[in-house]
Formats: sequence, structure tokens, C-alpha cells
Amino acid sequence: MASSSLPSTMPGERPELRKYLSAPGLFFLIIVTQVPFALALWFAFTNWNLLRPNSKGFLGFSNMFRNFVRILRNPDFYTVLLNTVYLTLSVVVLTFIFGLIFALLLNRPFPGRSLARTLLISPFLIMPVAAAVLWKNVLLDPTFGISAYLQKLVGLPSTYLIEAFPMASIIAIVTWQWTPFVMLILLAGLQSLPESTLEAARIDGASGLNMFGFIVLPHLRRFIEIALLLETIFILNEFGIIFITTSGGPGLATTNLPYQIFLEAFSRWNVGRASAYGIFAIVLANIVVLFFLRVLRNQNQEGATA
Amino acid sequence: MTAGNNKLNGHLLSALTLLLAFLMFFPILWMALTSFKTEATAISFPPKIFFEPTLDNWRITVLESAFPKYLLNTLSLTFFSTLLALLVAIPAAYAMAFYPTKRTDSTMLWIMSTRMLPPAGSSCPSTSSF
Repeated sequence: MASSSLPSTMPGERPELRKYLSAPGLFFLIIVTQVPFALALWFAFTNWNLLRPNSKGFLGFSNMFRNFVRILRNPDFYTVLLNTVYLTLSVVVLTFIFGLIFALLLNRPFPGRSLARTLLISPFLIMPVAAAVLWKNVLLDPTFGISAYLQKLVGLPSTYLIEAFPMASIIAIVTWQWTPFVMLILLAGLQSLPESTLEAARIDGASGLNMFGFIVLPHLRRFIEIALLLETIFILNEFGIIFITTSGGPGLATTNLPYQIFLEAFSRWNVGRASAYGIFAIVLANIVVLFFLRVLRNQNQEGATA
Repeated sequence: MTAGNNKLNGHLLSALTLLLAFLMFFPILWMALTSFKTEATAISFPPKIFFEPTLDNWRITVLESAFPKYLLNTLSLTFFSTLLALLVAIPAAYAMAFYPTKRTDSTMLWIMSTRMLPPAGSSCPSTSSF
């Protein structure tokens, strides 16, 4: 939190107006997020299915949790849950590693540096749907794609990589898109590290590895926290790339929770069940994010005592 | 000599960075190249780097399709939602940064938590209720 050293009242200021400054934003957020959420919560307790026009009604107190119970008893749900966590964690770990490497490589002056930075950011600027079409139909195509060419070069038979390794392909595409995001935030962090600190450490005879572990990483902590937290929230909701490349298949191999909600709502038209899935998705997001924050906080404390 | 070694290492690092940057950018470069290929060139194997470029795809997209309309839709959607977001976010951020109250921390956590709602989950009620 910013502890402000400003005087509590500026001359000519009307302090009673301050508390209304955040009102428009909060009001807007409540309208566009809490109202749909409340509706989703209500729908989760109904048997509303658009294919059965008379079905829009409360399930009744005796079996009001039917949607939730059906989901929990469905073994597919656990596959989908595991897919969601697996996809998110893999992407977050991979983008962190690559993002940190790229940020460190860019954080030194060399000719062509701004060109390299622009090229490295570019995957993030492509729309997810366009990126998915590009990878699926141009790069990874088994008959004329670059992947087929590379496989032929090393003497392998041409395989359709998305079909052979569906989850790994999606992880690779999402990682390609999100590495620049982590890189940008970490690069901003690296550039805010004062050169004099590193200079002092160098004079004291610290090795490169020591400087990285005891100065650079602790300084980057908050930036890492922000980058990974935001990324986790967005990747948990990943939908476009899955929709375009595999449509959640083969079978359930690449179906994550958002895709399952989409199927339930817009292909089975079961609004009640889809809303119950939505509630589970929100619970999962909260658990993952709280877990994340706790892990990072613990590391912070260890770093402080060391 | 260590100085010479350092210089060599520096050049190697720079070359490595540029190589990695090129690899990350390659899919987009390939997309751009493909946009100048005819259908037959685009699906030829092995993939062609040198070919006779054609502007047909661009002509069809820009002049003979609804693409300008889509572009305008995208631009106005982006512009107006950013404008609206800034209008409500700047006063809120100002108040929270300079005049925090007891509830500011929890409010900010709540604001972030609204991002966790899956779009599929929130669009389902919004589309079905109309």
C-alpha cells in the first residue's frame, strides 16, 4: 500500500469529494460482474435447459444442489479440472523461465537491441484466434507445414503434432503468446534496478551468480508476483486457442473448464448445469490464486530472514 | 585475455538474443510471407521461401470483402472500451493511491477477483437473460 506523505488536505481541496472518486468505477464493475455472477448463482439452482422451453424453474429445496451433485459425480469433471490446472501451471512455469531469460538477455546494451525487443514482443500482439489458425493451418500442418519440413529434415515420418500431442501443442502455442508478457514486466523490473547497487556488489567481489541470487531476484520479486498472478488469471480462462486448434479433443484431452462451460451452455443448451460449472470455475480460480499468493509470500519471508 | 574473452562473450550473447528473437518472430514472418503466396504456392512442399509474390490475397481482403468493416468494428470497440475504462479507473486509482482507507486493500483484491470470472460463465447469464 502506498503510505502517502502528502498533507491530508491540499489547499483549496474539498476532501468530502474524495470518497466519491472511486464510485463510478466500482458501480460499473458491480453492474458488469456481480449481476451476471448473481444470475449465474441463481441459474445454478434451476433446471433451465433451452431445449426444454418449460424447464426454467427452481429445482426445489429437496434437490436444489442437483446440478452440483451431477457435476461432482461425473468422472469427466475431474479430467477437465486436471486439464485446466495442468495447462495453467505448465504455461506459467514455462513463460516464467523463458520470460526471465529473454528479459535478462535484453537487459544489456548491444546493437540491434530495440529490434530484438520488438521481435520478442510481437507474439503477444497477435490475436489469440489468428495465432491459433496460424499454428494449426500453416505451421503445424502435416502435409505442407514447417513442422512437416523439419520432421523430414531429421528423417522422421510426418506427424500431425496437434493430433499426436494435443495438450503439449496447446501449451506450446499459449507459451509462445504469453512469454512476451512476462518478459515485458520482468524487463521493466530489471531496468528499475539501480546500476549503482550492482556496481557496489561488483566492487565487493560478488560473483555473477551471487549478484543474481541476492540482488536481482529479490528486487524482481514483486514484478514476478504481478506477472505470474495476472497470467494465471488469464490462462485459467484460456478459450480461443483450444476452440480453434482442438475443440477440446480428442475426447476430453484438451477440454478445460471454460471450454466445458461453453459446451454445456452453447452446445447442450443446459444453462443450469453450465452456471454450476461456472461457480466451480470461480472457486478454482480463487484457490489457485490464493495458493499462488501464499507461496510467493512465504518465499518473501524466507528471503527476508536469509 | 579476460577483456577479449568478455568482449567475445558479449558478442555471442548478442547473437544468441537476436537468434532467439528471430525464432519467436518467425511464425509471424511466415504468416506475412504466406499472405503474398498463391493458394498453390502456400501449400507446396517443401515450403518455399523464394517465390513469385502476388497481391491477390490483399486485394481480395482489403477491397472485395467486409474487412474494412471488421477493422472499424475492432478499432471502435478497442478505442471506446479503453476510453471508458480510463474514465472510471483514473479517479478510482487516484483516490486509492493517495487517500487509502481501511477498506482499500480488500476493495483492490475484490476488483482483481472480478477478472477471474470465466467469460463463458458470465456471458452465459448475460446472453440468456435477453
